[in-house]
Amino acid sequence: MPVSSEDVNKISKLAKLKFSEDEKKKLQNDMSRIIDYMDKINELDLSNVEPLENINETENVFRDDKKKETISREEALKNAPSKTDIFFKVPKVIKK
Amino acid sequence: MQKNILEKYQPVIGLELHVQVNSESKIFCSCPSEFDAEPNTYVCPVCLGHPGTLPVLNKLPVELCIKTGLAMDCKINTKTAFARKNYFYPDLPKGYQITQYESPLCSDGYTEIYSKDIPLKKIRIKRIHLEEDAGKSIHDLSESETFLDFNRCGIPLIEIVTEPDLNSPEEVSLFLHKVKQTLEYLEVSDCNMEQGSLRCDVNISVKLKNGNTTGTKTEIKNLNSFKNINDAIDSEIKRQTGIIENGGKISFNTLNYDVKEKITVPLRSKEAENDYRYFSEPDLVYLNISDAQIEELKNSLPESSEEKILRFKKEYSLNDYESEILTGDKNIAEYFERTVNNIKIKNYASFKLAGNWIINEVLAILNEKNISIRNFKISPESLAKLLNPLIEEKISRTTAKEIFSSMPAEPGKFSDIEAIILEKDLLQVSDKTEIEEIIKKVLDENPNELLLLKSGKVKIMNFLTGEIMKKLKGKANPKIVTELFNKFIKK
Amino acid sequence: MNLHEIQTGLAKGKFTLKTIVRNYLNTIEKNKDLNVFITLFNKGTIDRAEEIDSKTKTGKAGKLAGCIVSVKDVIAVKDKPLTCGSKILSNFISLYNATAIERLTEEDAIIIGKVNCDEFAMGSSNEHSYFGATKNPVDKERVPGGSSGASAVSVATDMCNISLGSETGGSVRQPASFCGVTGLKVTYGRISRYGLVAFASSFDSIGIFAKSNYDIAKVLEVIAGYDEKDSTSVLNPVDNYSELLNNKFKSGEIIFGYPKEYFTEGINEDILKGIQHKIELVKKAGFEVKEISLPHSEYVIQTYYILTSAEASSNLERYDGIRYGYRAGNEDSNLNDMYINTRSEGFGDEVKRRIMLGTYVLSAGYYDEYYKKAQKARRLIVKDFENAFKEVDYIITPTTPNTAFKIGEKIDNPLSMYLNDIFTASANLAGVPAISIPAGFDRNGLPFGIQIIGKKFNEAGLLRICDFL
Repeated sequence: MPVSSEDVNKISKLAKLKFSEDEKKKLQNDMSRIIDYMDKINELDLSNVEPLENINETENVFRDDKKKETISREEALKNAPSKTDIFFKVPKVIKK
Repeated sequence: MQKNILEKYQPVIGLELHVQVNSESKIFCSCPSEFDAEPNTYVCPVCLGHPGTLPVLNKLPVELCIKTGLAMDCKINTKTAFARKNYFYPDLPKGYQITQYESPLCSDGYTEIYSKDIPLKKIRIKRIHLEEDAGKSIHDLSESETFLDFNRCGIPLIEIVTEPDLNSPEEVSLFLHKVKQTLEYLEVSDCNMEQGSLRCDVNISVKLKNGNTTGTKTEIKNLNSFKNINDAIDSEIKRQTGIIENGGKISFNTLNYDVKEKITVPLRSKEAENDYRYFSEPDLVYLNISDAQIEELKNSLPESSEEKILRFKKEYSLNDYESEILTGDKNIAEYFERTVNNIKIKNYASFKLAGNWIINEVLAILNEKNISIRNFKISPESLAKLLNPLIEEKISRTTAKEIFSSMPAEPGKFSDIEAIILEKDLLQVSDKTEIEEIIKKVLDENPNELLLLKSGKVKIMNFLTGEIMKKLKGKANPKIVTELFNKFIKK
Repeated sequence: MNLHEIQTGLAKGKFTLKTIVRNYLNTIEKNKDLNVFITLFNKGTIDRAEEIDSKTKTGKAGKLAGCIVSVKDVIAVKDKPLTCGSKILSNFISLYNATAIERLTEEDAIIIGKVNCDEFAMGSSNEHSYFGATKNPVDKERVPGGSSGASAVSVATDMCNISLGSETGGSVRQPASFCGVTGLKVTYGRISRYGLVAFASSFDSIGIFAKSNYDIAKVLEVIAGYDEKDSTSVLNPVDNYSELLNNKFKSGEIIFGYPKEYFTEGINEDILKGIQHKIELVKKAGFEVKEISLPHSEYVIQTYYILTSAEASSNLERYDGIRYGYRAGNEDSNLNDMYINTRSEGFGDEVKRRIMLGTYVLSAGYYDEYYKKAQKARRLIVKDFENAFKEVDYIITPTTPNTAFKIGEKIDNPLSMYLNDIFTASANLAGVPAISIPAGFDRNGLPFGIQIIGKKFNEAGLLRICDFL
């Protein structure tokens, strides 16, 4: 299988996701099948092809340096799951 | 630092500087780009990373980044793009930072440093690019939680990356001052380290002086004062040479500098390890800067400090020292030139007098009060009004100093200095008969001293002229006093 | 009734907008079992209808008065929930309007509510929603397609006359085909993406569903065009699409092509016959139809899934339980646990699978192998279309290889689900416009569509073709 269980562990850490052992096995299997399928792209000779990043290949879209009214702090905090009157809150990196 | 260590090892240092750009609005949204607002008041759905929002690039930071590159002799890369740097951190709302990766706006430049102790040296600039700042994590308001303020999030940053061409804390300091001066001259940034508008990461390794293999480097993150940078480098050199001297190996590490303990502390390797998965930012389009635009920006570059020094020497006949001091800060140079513009008698002597007055009197007050010239209460126009009568020898230096020292308290009161001089009877006494009378009086009052002087004790002359000046309340033209006094003695 | 008929009726006082809205709301209520709406705007909708009715009386109503729009729940409407069909945004209220919504409401279209979809628009069946699967009204055991499945259903069952959906690889055209309505995917950049929650930014576009091409034309006129809030929106002038519909194509004026790579094995027989029949009709109408080649067609799905998963993995990093949305865990969690639990509990399986896949193809060692290569392959696919459009003006294909499948049939086989996009994803890779027009029914009475792909910015041509297909 092209995707190893170590790959699954490493990628889930990067993506901040966790899976049960069963889920991991299924995921490894699914990802391997999909990657196998995707490997077909390696048939193509792409040595002289420029990558396409921006589909309309447009350039130089700017705005002028002008400030505009922002939302209120109340609005900014409205959707926050944990907050004080003025700050968003998160748990510390290490809990004491 | 122990001398023998420095004789044996040479530090190899590269810097990554993050400079907050002076702009009215943020780099990808229209929120105000200001430093000290109430927490979470300068935010919007875009910089908070709300679903569905998109970045739109502010033109000004692009221009300022290019100007910085031009001032540092960089190649300006006409076709560039933005990239996403992916990592999770609470003060990074989108889970990625928009930055430049494969194609920075500027690359391959240099800047020169020198001092009395360090001969002229080129420090190569690897790249200069644009990116967005993150928000602020506040760790000390609660035991268990971190508080977040996103006002800073999206403030435009210019990142300047050097090659590892610096070899001592002194060179680093010199380089930083040079960069700071350049950025201030270009009006790119105020480079206020205390407020975090200039931040520095240091890459550092040591090598044997006579060897040519460089050791493993470490990276000290987020230093925010000249002193901390200097101390952190010192302590890291000590740490690295200590390990090597004891037969150990340096491992690649990211470190924090502990200001209290004055030591560099490696972060847990888990925090350091990352895979940022850079890829091109699909929400922004390519930048394609034309040669004509670059030319235009080049022509708009303000005079550099070097150019200014040369001009000051030529135009105002100032010496090296005077020119360097007066151009060290762009605002001081401007203050000087505005003063000179208001001086009535324009000649080298009056330029020099004005320059030295600023160096000796104005800068002393700024240092004493620890303020910048922009916050100095006496305008260059007012200073010129004070210096004009001095240059014209209408008032004495002593009088001028007296007036000057009382000006900052009530700057408004001194809008018409000439009137004050007249009102307070401060005009310099140049009337010879009046002075002669005083001399005569002083000599009459001090017969013994006069005898001593005549017997050859020349030093007593200072005492006598002092007494004369006292009686003239400092208003006499000292040249005339000396001249008349000598006449008297010879009689 | 199309919009023209509604507007004439309103102007003549034959009926009021309020009654029309009431009727739609009744239909919505009667068909609750289809699970179409996530949020219904009810009261507000009727108030708006009353306002517009009085504007109509004084002749001041906007261009889209009479337009009742359902909106896929990946598009932001101010002060309304924006769930993206996900637990992680199940309690999120948008602070702003998407540009398309802003433009619609300015012209007096009424937004009737937010409709279900696959979570973050990832899926081809509408089964991957935190709010449950939406059902196909033709056969309730079948899927309506996806990801904009509920949008297609809302139009098919007359819950509204317009729906805004979104496209990344066929998410408008495929459900349009499965539900028997017309669905337009515009040129990349034609409609602002501001307020469309990103799945894969370089592919995403807002799409429009309706029963009539006139209605689509009217809506497109209003919402298309450059937006200073979206740097990838384009400056090209917006056509008067509804007026252009009056221009009928003269015989011989345009040439059609059918790509040989799209007519191979694996297509449902009835669909194949139906499309061939349509091709005959086109020929009879006096237009040339010739075989063309899109040689890199066999790499479309690979390229599409590598690039979209990569972009999605990054676009979905903002869902971290900090500034908004669901947050897992309790007081004792540390930061990392909070992140991991929030994202693991908040996202569904398909989204997690794509995040994993996308993170994988961007990670050190695989970036060049997959991501960079896919970006290059994308250019080849774009070139295929550029070459084809030198020979022909429009490309005809089936919209999908199959009609609607059973709920649950493909849910455990992601790859077979991905292959549903085989005919549609190429238009998103190339950024060209494409439309799915109802083309008939299979032997089980399930609808299918015909896809017409056009040159960039030729939405007008696609809408005109609807008239003779």
